[in-house]
Amino acid sequence: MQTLQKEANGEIKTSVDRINAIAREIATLTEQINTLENYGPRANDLRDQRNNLLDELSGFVEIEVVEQPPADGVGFSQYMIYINDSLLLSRDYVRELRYEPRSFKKNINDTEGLYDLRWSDGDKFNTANIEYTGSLQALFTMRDGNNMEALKGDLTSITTSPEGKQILEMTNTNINDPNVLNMPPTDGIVTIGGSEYVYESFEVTVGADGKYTYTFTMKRQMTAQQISHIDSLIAKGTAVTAGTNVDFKGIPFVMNQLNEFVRTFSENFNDQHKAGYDFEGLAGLEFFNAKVPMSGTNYEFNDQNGFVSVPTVANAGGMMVGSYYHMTCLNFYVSEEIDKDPRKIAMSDSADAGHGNHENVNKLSNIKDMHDMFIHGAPATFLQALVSVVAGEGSKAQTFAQTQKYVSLSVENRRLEISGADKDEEGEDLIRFQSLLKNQFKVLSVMNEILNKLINDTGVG
Amino acid sequence: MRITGTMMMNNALRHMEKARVAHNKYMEQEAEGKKILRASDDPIIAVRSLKYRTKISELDQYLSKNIPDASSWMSSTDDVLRNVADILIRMNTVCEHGQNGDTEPEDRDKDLEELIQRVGEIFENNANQKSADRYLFTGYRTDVPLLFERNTDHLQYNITENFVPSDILPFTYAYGGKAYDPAVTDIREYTDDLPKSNRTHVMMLSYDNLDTGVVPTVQYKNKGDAPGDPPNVLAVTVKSITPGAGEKYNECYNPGPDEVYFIPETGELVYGENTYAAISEAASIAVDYQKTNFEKNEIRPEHYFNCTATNTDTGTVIPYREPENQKINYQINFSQTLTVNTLACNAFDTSIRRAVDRIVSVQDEVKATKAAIEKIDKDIEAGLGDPAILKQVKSQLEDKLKIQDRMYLDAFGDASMILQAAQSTVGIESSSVGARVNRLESTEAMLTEQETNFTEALSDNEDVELGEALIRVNEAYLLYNITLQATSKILGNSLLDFI
Repeated sequence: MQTLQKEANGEIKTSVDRINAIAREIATLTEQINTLENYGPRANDLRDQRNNLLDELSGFVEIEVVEQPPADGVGFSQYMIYINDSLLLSRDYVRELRYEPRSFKKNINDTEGLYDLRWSDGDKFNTANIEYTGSLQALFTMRDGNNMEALKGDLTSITTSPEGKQILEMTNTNINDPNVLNMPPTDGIVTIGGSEYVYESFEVTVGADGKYTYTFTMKRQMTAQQISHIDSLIAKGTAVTAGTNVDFKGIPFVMNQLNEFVRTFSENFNDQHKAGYDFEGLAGLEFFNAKVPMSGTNYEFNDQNGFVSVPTVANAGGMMVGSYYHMTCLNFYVSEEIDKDPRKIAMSDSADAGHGNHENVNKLSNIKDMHDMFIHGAPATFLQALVSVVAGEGSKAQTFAQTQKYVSLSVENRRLEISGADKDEEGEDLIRFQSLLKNQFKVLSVMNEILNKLINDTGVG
Repeated sequence: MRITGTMMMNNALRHMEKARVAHNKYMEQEAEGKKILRASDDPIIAVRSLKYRTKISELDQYLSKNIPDASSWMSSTDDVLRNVADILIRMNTVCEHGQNGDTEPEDRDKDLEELIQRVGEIFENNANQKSADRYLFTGYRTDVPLLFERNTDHLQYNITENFVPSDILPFTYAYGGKAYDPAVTDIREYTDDLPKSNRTHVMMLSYDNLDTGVVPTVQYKNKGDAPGDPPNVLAVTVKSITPGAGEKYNECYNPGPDEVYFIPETGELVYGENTYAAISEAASIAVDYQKTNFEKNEIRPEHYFNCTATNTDTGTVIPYREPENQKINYQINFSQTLTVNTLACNAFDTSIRRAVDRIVSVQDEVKATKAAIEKIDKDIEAGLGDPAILKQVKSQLEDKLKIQDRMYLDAFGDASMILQAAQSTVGIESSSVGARVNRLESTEAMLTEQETNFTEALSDNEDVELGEALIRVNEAYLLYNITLQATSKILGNSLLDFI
């Protein structure tokens, strides 16, 4: 999944480079066309070249071309190209697209350095709107599509901590379960009123009604202006998002589904494992665990009362207390202790029964048939549902691509119908003109004879 | 509609491409033998395949791993149970021979020897059996043998054993009869202490050689008692098999009507008349006692009784609970488990060994009396001591011998009854194993059929029939060739060729 994301990212880069190159070529051509047409007839060849370039450009983005003859018939004509409703080119001025790698992540499993696009004069290039056509938009949609599952809620307050960092509080959110929470633990963004702010970490507290309250500590200090702007937005009651919502089941969606699977399954498995006893008669540990990023040790999972996104202080047993939120499909593994010593696998259901008691193993194996583990049913059903969703999207995309290909071929044919040159027609014209010429030559020779007779044969003396 | 040469070329290219794509697809299908290469080719086939494969791998686990394991365990158990049943039958025959009044004493001794050997066979060779490094009859503790492997005296066991009133059996014994003491001169001391035959009631605990300093507790509950009621307790007096000062021979078997005597050397509780009357109506009886010295091949208490083992060297205390409920369950089908093991405490009664112990102790008494008679005979011949006293003692000893001979005979009869009860216990376990084996076999047959069905369904779902695939490949190839030919014909000519 991450490799696919990186590939999509790389293709975005090459697409943007090509768009810029095309824009520059078109600018040059437009200059030449304007110059030539000022003094002479239409520069058909050049216009054809330019149109071919436009065809290629439209494969990347949705373009709109506006050409206006000069007012009063004097001067150069206006020629403008808009892509995704933003200006790319105006006669000979090109506003290039720049790609910059993100220093933050929008989803917990995103790879590093995904590109965001910006115009060379600083405006943002909006890539989250899936209504735009073109392969560039498709790449973004695939790379960032999270099926609108990002965290959304109401911003309730902004305060400043003693260290000068701003703290935002968010309540009334749509996610109250760590298993479906997929924003990054650090260096993520919160989108407020169209602007993105990077946060350093967040904390979750659980209310009496089981609802979560999120508290974000921002990474960089905000200016007073930004703070007062946010205050006014709070007063109006604004919804904020952690990350961005893209309405497509793209790569982040699949990775988030895998996260949910891994977390929920591990939670159920661990709970049953902890209820059993191992070889020595000690209570079972967490079987599946994740690695704490800094130290590589394991977590102890306890998120009934909330958790922090970056635990820094170990508890009495020397373990970092974390939540199943910290476990992702990338970092989940068997607990180190159990990995090193398989006798810690809790097979027995009683502390002093003896080595033949494997009742807990029977209960653990029944977990795979738990029909209420997910909304879809048992774990196998969840994965089957995921496969069928992805397969369905893939099949849809294939059909769509094929249909589009036929449509564009059809349009091409319509164009060629009007503009194409046919050998037979040209050949016909050739023959006509050829015989015309021949006849004209005949006329010439008859004239020659007439003149000859007139001048030479009716001469004086 | 105007058609230009470029249009025709584009169309021709498109057709060739389609033909190539189809050709490629069918070629891949033929090479792989499967209808889909990627899930998105046909999501429905993909998801169905996933479901079938999950099912088949589960079935495989049951058929190739769980069921054979269970089967081998149960067949080893079955073999042992059959062996033990045969041995018990043999022992019964020996007992019948032993209790026959016409049998010579020497032959009776030989019978006893055989019984001792057979008991050893039952417990050491059969009940202690292993299969693939796991003990068959010890429940969850498959790594702990049934019997002690060497003399053990550092584990102090406090054992709670449960009984019912029918475990208390009547016992006839020789009481009294003064032993010969050369220092005694008054013949009346002997005539006052004639050997008699007395009856009492005895409950044999499962072990002998119990700790002497510890008084066991005897508690019982009556049928009408509510579960919360405290149990009734009987007071127990500790005696010894060797009579104390002033006590008659076998005084330990002669409790008062309200007394209960405990004999640690033989592991017996003797009930006086009234205590016996009280306890014979009980619904359940529990006796707590303690034993520290175990010989090699004695049964480890944790496999039979609720007990607590204290290691006198390290001080660690290990409690053992409910050995009769340690069922090892194997999952042989979806949400179906089968108990594969049989427990020693359910199949092999300790009473088998104890019955033989009883015969041995009676034989010891007989031997002692015979030796005493021989000694008296020697003394009479040598002329030592008072001849009148010697004659009196000898006749008393001979009376005692008669009583004890009778006891010897009866002991075989008692043992026979106990052995028959043990036989039916083994029979019950054996038929339970048989029933479970049947269930296992029928499950196996059903699962094998299911596996075939699912494998077939999977193949139907995702496999391409090779003949069909080949035909399609050829068809596509043909189509491709035709397209190529058609294209070359169309694109070749134009008006210019004719100028």
